[in-house]
Amino acid sequence: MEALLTALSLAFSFDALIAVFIGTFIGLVFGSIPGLTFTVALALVLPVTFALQPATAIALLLGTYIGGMTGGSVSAILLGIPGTPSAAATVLDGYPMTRLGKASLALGTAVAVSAIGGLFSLVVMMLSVDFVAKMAIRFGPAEIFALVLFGLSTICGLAEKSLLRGLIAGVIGLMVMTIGLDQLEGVQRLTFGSTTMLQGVNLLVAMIGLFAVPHVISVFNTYRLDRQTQMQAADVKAEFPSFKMLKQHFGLTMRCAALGTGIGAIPGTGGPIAAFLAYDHARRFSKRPDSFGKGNVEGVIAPETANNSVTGGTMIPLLSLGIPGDPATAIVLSGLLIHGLVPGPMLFIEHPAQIYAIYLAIILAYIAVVVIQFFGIRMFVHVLRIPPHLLGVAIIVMCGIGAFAIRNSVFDVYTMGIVGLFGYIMMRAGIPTTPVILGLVLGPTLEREYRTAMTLSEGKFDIFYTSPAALLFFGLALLIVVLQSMANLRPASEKAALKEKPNA
Amino acid sequence: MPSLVRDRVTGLVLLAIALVWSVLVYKTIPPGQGDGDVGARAFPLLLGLILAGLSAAMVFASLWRKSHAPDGGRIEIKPALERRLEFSIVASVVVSIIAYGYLMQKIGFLLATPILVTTLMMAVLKSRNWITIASMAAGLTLGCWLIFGKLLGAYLPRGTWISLG
Repeated sequence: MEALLTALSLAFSFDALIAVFIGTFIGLVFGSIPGLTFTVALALVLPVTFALQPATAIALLLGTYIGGMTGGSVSAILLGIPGTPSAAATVLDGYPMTRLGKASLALGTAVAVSAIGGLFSLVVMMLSVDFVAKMAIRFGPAEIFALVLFGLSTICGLAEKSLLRGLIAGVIGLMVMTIGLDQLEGVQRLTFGSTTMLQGVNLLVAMIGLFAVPHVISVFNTYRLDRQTQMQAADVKAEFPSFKMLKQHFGLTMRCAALGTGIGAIPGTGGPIAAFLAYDHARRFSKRPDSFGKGNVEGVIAPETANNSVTGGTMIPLLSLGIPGDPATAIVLSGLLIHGLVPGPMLFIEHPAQIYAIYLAIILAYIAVVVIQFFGIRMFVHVLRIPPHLLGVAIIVMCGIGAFAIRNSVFDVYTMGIVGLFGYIMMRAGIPTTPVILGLVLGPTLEREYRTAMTLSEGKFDIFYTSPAALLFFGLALLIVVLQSMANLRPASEKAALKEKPNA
Repeated sequence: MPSLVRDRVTGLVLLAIALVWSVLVYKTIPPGQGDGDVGARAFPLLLGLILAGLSAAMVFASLWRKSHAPDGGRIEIKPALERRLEFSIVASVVVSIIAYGYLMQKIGFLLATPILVTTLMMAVLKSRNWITIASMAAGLTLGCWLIFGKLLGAYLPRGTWISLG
């Protein structure tokens, strides 16, 4: 009870409330502009949180995360271009609704079901996260190593088109994190005698460089090639759907919320998968499946409920086990670590008030989403008209300030530029950057726990295969790798089958 | 898409990086003592070797696909003008970021930021609209100074050559 009261005072402090609203606003803006993902917003906001109190900082990050997840629907509905990958499924019926003159209803429905889905997933998260954490408290180094390996296996899901490239990216991330002073023995690793290299490559600097710089270069390149899409969004407002309509689709909303929460709880999956599965589910069970793709409101309800339910789902492994499910939650994890909140079982014992404050911040962020979208939707229409290349200039300035602010070091600005260059080269070479982040975030824990486990067992590997929990995580990791490999192979076999049957 | 050539070049570059990395790790980091002491060298060395294996697999996969591709791995190459433009943008952005860091340290945030914005607008975006350039430079400098420096209390460098702010 005392913890809850403390959490209330933290979450409802003036600073935290302002932070939630500012974060949600930033997330909505970045989410609504096609190409400017909320992951970039989170990477830029993260250095700002250094100067803030932990509760305020987390409120800002969660607001940005949740605002960004919701904001993608604005451009998806108004322009037919998803602001975020999670909103790609919303385009299918959201944009046809705009062409039918129902843009206001589509936007209002998206906002309403996003909030319902997000809050549903929050309740599930609150009920399950403590249970998972209590199980995890008995974990030793071997189990944690297996758990982190399981977290890394989600690289397969984040690898985009090629598993091989995803693995290469993951290994690069793990390699980069070994540079600097070894955390167990204090040995210098690939520092070349430089004192600035002793701390290694800063995770946040790497994140800013990998996400923001390649994006800006692409925007500038598109602008110079005169291939920029002219944004033309109609002047609209958000029209709240009637209670009757919400009641009519309550079953679908709840099913999609459950689907989104479940998908979100599996690391490496995320919003786009949940949204498309929910859209497919809605179409299959609809009384009018033929109307999908032509402006059926169920085609907006399903993906928007599901992709926002992912936010609560991803928080389950993040808070209870310290496993981020996607790049955005990896940045939220970094924010928690910076402020001394180490996700995992001990977080619930040592900082219960902060946990409750996180729950409250999520509720407040959804309230902020509804308020800002309903009263400020016209402003987002204007934001969509800002030329992306001018926003690119602003992002470069903010990247420079953000990288510098992390350690008040110019070295970090240089590193950010070089990492950005590597990020762009990787992008052009078709190597995904998200697995690099996973490697950067989980690498140090993987190595530390493995070495500790081996020290405890005096070099015997039986410490790994005599623990049921470790075996379970190894099994899950193997399952994910096998399933993803099969998914990668399927299109090839399907193509082969089509070749054999040209008339098929 | 020049996927096959691109994969081969990428694979070879990564293979070279992995081999250099592994040699450097082997030569400069001491091994563990045994009996459970894995040591500081094992992980980076293992990762270097894994990257070498994966890069080699990438090269072989591209060679295998070439021999099985119906068009023999025909590639489409971007026009030379587009490639030059892309290279100039990448170089300009990265050099601007590094120069921004240097200038922030030497002349401070308040002078370095408008220089960066003007450079990006003129050199990268080829803008000659002075009103847009001036308003972007002044607006971003003032806005960031107010938000980061004053509102959030972040330290913004004042410069060692010229001290402002």
